[in-house]
Amino acid sequence: MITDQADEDLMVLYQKGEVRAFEVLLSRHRRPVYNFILRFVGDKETAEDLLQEAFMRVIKGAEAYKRQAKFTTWLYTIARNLCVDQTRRRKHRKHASLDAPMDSSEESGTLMDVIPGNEMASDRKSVNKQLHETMQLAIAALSEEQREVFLMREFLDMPFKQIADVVGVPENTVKSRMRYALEKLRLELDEYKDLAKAAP
Amino acid sequence: MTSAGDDDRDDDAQLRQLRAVWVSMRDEEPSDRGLAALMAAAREKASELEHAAQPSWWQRVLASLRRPPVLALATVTVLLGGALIITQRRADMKADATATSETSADSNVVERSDRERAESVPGAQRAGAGSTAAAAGSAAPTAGPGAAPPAPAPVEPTLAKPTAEVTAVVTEKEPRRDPKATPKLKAPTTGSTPTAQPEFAVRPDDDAPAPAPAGAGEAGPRGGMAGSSPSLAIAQDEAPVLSDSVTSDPGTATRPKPKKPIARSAPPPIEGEDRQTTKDESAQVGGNTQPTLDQLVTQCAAAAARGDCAAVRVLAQRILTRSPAVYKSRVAPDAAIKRCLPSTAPNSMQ
Amino acid sequence: MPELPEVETVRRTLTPAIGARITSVWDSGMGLHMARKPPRAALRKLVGTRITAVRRIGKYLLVDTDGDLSLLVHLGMTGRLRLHKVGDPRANHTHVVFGLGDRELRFSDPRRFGQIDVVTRSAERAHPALAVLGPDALTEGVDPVALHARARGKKAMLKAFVLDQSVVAGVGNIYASEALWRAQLRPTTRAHKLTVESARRLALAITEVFDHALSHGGTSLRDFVDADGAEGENADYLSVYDRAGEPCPRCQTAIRRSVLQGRATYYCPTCQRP
Repeated sequence: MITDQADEDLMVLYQKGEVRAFEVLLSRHRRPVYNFILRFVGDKETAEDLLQEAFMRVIKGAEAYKRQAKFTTWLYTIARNLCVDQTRRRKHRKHASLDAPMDSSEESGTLMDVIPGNEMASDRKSVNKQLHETMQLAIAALSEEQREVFLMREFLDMPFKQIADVVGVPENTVKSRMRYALEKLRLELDEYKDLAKAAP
Repeated sequence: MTSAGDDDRDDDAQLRQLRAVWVSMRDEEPSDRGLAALMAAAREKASELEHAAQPSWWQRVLASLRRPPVLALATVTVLLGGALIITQRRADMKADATATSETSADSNVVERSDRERAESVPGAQRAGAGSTAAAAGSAAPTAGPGAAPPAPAPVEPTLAKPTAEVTAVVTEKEPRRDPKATPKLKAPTTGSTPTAQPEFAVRPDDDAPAPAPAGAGEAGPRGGMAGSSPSLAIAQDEAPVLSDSVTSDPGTATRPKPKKPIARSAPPPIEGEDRQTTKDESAQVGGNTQPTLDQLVTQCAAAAARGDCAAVRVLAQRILTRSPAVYKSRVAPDAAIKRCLPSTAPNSMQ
Repeated sequence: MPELPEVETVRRTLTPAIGARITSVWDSGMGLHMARKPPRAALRKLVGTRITAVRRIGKYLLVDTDGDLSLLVHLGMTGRLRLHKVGDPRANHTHVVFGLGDRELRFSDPRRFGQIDVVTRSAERAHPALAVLGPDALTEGVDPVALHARARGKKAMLKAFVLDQSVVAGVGNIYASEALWRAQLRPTTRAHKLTVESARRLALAITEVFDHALSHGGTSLRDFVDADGAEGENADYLSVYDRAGEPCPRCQTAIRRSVLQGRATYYCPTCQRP
């Protein structure tokens, strides 16, 4: 079954003109790539645009793809480069402020509202939602270099070596950035550690 | 996925707790915005890729030529070889054409020479000429005296009275030769070394030729020129030799004895036609095309089969002159022909 | 994506079609899987035959007829094979419809990654789709000795090894994660490191997760429904799949989520040691 084939084999099939192979690749990777981009750039509309562009580049560069190369490395290199270009183009970098409103809905408050001791939703899903939003802001507060490494490591479970290939720096540099990212998150979320403990 | 060596995430309890939070963060589903355009682009590209994967025939040929140098070299070699073969064949065909036209002109000279010879060598030659004339007469009844020398007809291996030297084989138009200019035809002069002897010089130990078949092309004109000696037709090719050998070097028996008639072989039947009678064949002489190499080879083989070594030698010489390749591939290997050829330098004649 | 338990569930719910005569066949004209066109001529050969059995080999369904022909179906990622009453509105993306008198057997597939074909029953294993299949995990069971032997020398990760249909037919992404968790084996462990004992645990785990899933009608995450259109309930009973961040049922460690070959993989980093 074509759906059981490895990414690399699917690319080879696509190089021979089999569009269905590309469809399988798209169905596999569209969601995770989107979420990587979304967590990197921070807004949905931009993330969707960049997602589209990333796969367009895969299509355009299909001929040049080499079977030996890991497909995800290539794909995330494209996605990551688009994200970096995008954030540099921004006129005003959005700083993640823990006091800033979490979203634009009327019901949203500030992060302070989720600190233990305040009235907060007691059911699991609600708590998780707040935690997740907090976490998203903390991640957004990381530097680009730390953020990209952190996202690839923690959300895509990429080995450090592969991250190094995507980012284009030595593996030790990647590990170093990861350590700094974790430290910064720890500090940012330290006062909310009780909240994290309370998460079911 | 991370390997065991990368997994340092379990050490810190606080970190484990935080990790539990972000690991549980759900992925969001992207909207379908742009999906249709993306798939359209993918299909278009797939079509291009499919065509690119199947190049056109000339592109494939070009690609194969461009690839390993050995292949390219082989291709070039084949092409060049083919061009050479075609060129060679064209040259052969031109040579045939020239030889045929010249042979008919030469035949006049031959006939005159024959007449002279007949006059100078009474008796045997006259008898030979007479017999030749008789044969020619029977072969070409329609060619009366005074008839213009017809174009030579192909030789046919029919029974022929051994009254004349091989002349029937001289049915091709050969390029006009200056005997002096052609070393191989040049007779060894007095004191010349044996190595100067032409390869196909007639030797005294040659077998007696079979009776010359009637109906040879040359017989026509010969017949028309009563009294001319067919032997002198061959002699023309080797005229200097014969004459010289007769006059200057009687010790060198390089010519068939005049008394031994050389069989005349009738021209081979033309495909699709019934075997011609000598009468009919001679009638065809005037209008026939020049004998081809194939025909000469056939004549040569026929002459060898009936033991007419003189004819074999003359024919073999002609084949060699026209096409050394044909000589090497078809004449030299023939055992019967080989018996008639001298043992020295069988494959070439300088 | 329907795996063995889901396909088996569909098979069981298709048994009411046994005995029905195929009176007509219609197709949408759209090819499935990698085919440009449907196998119309082959499908038409089934018209006039009577359904005698519904079988399953791995993730493939086989609808046998009274001739020597069988309908071969693979649901792909989004395929459905359902019995309908004549007159029921046709769902979008319906690609093949077999008339069965007062009912219809309809195959629909939005993504068109499923497969439909006709095979000669006496030579069905020669069909390219079936030729590569290993022993069926349910009907033939999983032999631990054979599993261990197959794993010898294999550099692929255990998850990929288990997903290989020539090793065990019927395991998909969901149950690979589930079985490996149950066997306490890390998905990224290389297959050649599988010991006799761990092969035994894995063989048992595969059988157990399938039995468990079947008892709940299969797992419906997005598209799966049985032949009657009912969703499976096994999703609520999964231990690790799609439960990233949740505590492991065994050791309470947060379940990790990873991506292998573009497919989500879930595991417990504590009790699934490498």
